[in-house]
Formats: sequence, C-alpha cells, structure tokens
Amino acid sequence: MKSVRLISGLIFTVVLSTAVQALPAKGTYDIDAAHSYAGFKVDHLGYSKLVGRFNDISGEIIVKDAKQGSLVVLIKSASIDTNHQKRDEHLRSPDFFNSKQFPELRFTSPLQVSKDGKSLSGELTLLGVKKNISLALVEGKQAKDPWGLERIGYSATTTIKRSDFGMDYMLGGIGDEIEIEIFVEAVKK
Amino acid sequence: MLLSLFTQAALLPLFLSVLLHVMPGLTGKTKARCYLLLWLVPYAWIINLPNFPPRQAYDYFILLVPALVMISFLAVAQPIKLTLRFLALLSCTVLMLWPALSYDFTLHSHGLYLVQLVLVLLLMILVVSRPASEVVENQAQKLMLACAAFFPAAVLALIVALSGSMKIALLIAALSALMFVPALSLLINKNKQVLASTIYTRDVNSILLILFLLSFNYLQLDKLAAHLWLVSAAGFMLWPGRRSVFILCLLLLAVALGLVVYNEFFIKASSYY
Repeated sequence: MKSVRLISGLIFTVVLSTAVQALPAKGTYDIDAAHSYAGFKVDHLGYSKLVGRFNDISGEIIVKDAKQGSLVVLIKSASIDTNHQKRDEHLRSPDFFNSKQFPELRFTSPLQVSKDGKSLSGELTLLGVKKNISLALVEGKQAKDPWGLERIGYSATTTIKRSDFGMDYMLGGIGDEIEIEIFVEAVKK
Repeated sequence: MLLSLFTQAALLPLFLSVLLHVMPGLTGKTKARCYLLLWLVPYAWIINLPNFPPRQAYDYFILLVPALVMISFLAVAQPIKLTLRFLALLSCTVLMLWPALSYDFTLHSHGLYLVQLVLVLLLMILVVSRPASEVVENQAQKLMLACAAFFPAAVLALIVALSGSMKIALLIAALSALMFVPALSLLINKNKQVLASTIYTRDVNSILLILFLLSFNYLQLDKLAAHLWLVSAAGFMLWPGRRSVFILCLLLLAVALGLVVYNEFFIKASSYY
C-alpha cells in the first residue's frame, strides 16, 4: 500500500511538473492579431490611470520540441490608441515613441518558461534600447478551435519603467511605471 | 512643470546669452562664434542629456554644434571654411533624417520630403555663405534685423508645440531666446551706422533649419503652414534688412501660425489631455 501511494505520488508529481513546463505542440504558430491584445496603463498626474493599446500586433511562436522554442512579437508603435487623436499624435512624436524613427516594439524570447510555468523571460526592444524583462504568464487553452485550427492562448502581464528605455519625457506628470497586459492567441501554420 | 519648461526655453538661454555678452576678455567675434555653444546647455536639459553614440535624431546636435564652432575658429581660407561648415550640416542632417526617409520608402510617399530636403539644403548653403557682418544704415533697419533674428524661431516653436512635440518646440524656443540679447544689443546701440555681426545668426539659422526638417519629417505638421514658414524664414535669413521683404515675411509667419492655431483650436478642437 505504502509503495503504491509512493509510486502514485511520484507519477503525479512528474505529470504535474511536466504539464506546467510543457510548451505547445511542436510547430510554428502565427499570432492571430484579431484575437490578440497589447495594452498598457500608466499613472496620469496621480489622479488615475490612463489606458491605451496598440492595434497592430503580429509575430510567431516556434516550438521545436518540449523544451525548446522561440517567440517573436512585433508591435507597430504608430498603432498606439488612447482614444484621443491629439494625445496619440503626441505619443507618436519624438517626445515618446518616436514612431517614424522606431516603428516597432519587439519582444523576443527563447521560450524558456519558468519551472512553475508562471513566468516567461525575454528581451524587449523599445526606442532602440534592449532590456531583459520577465512576464507573469497564464497559460490558456491549447486545442483545435471550431474551425479545425490548432490554437493556443496565453495572457501575460508585466511592469516596466519607460525611463529605462530612454522614454523620459514628462516623468513628473505621466508615470514612469507602465503596467502592460497582453492577451495572445496563435494559430498553427 | 510650467516653470521648468519656461526656464528651459527662455530664462536659461537668456541668462547664458547675457553672461556671454558681458564676459570680459573676449572679442565680439569670439563671442559671436561661441553663441551656438550656449544652446547646448538648455538642449542637454530639455532632452535629459543626449545619448552617445547618438540614438534619437536630436542626439546628433551634440556632435554638430561643437563641430560648427570649431570650424569657425579654423585659420583657413573662407571657401574651405564654407565647405567644411556645409559638409558638417549636410552629414548631420542626413543622419538625423535617414530613419524617417528610409522607412517604407516610395517616391510617391516620400517625394515631397526629398524635394523639401533639397530646398532646405540649398537655403542652408546661402545662409552659411552670408558675410560675417553687414552695415546697418538706420534705426528701422536695426529693428528689422533684430526681429529677423528671433521671430522665425519663436513662431516655429509655437507651431511645433501645437503640432505635437513639446521637446522639439522647447529646443527651438531656446534657440530663439538666445537671439534676444544680441538683437536687443543691436537695437539699443546709439550709433547710426553699426557693423552688425551675423556670425551667430548664420550658425543659429542653420540649426533652426535642421530643427524645421526634424519637425516636418517626424511630426504631423500642417504642410501649408510649414511651407509658409519656410518661405518666410528664407526671406528673414537672406534679406533681413529690406522693408518689403520684412513685411511680407512677417505676414507669411502670421498666416502660418494662424493656420495652425485655427486647425488646432477650431477644426480639431481637441481638449487638453
């Protein structure tokens, strides 16, 4: 009885740890822009948070095997949308995202998810500056969707300091810390 | 925050130019040549110190301004100085504008920007070729010369501020504020005829033209207003002492500014954000 319990416990632990570490099934997945979202919140003069999003997100996830893969997410900085045309123009200017000089934000990761499966590390490139960041990861569903496509989904959050990337204008009025929230769905090619 | 912006754009450049103006032991020519260096102080404050090596377009000014000042002091023939000055301006302009011009380039989408770049570079050649000083005949001419020194920069600062970049607007405003003291000094000079040094206006105007190109390529400036400003600035820079040119250029500046104000406050009517 004791040995049965011990073996069951061992099997359960192996299965569980394998389950949270597992990447999607092997293959290449294109990010489904229509079902993905990249948004942010930033402090506005201490009153409340200003919310915005980027409307142009693309990328791919390549899974080579159970523990190896790569992720590239590209966001067009000019697609920033805070529901105010004048503010969006200002955000695209050299004061903030300088969209004409730095048209893309890029996140790349070797897809090395942490042992508990709850965080993902990678490199964010913003305004030409590269920094390693860590995202808190929540795994969504991995299954065939109603149209027969192999679909995976994740949500991730992180907080970065915009000044770390050289975006230091109006730090007194607009917060330095940016809370980022990403919902991604990707479809196997 | 408003006090900080006002200090960066106006008080600090004014203070520095007064300091240079009253500094003993420096000749008028040396002071005029060093004027542009003063701009680097508010520039460094406004952009929170430039990156080195340059990363953003406006980071290149930290290389360009000292280069222009050094060229002024070179003991070489005038044509060589002119060539060096223009080469420095041309190379920095291209480096600053390259990301905007090269991104998704098609002749259809970027043709206007290229034509404008060529026109501004031609204007720059004329500006840097101006004589080091000119005789001012009377008080009216003094007034026109004084106004021509800082009006274009002041108006461009307003246009750029309303069009979406406070940073570049502050850089331009600081340039304008630097010109105030020499302009005032010219006005209060009681001599009927003075030899007005144009060395500082020549260098400052070159930087102003580059800032205009930066604004036009990286922001969404109203195209008509931008071109009206450019024509007006050309008039002020090349024929500052002629009454008819002065009046026409003043009108063009007013129309350019009026267009932008009208667009921002009456057409778009966007609230403060």
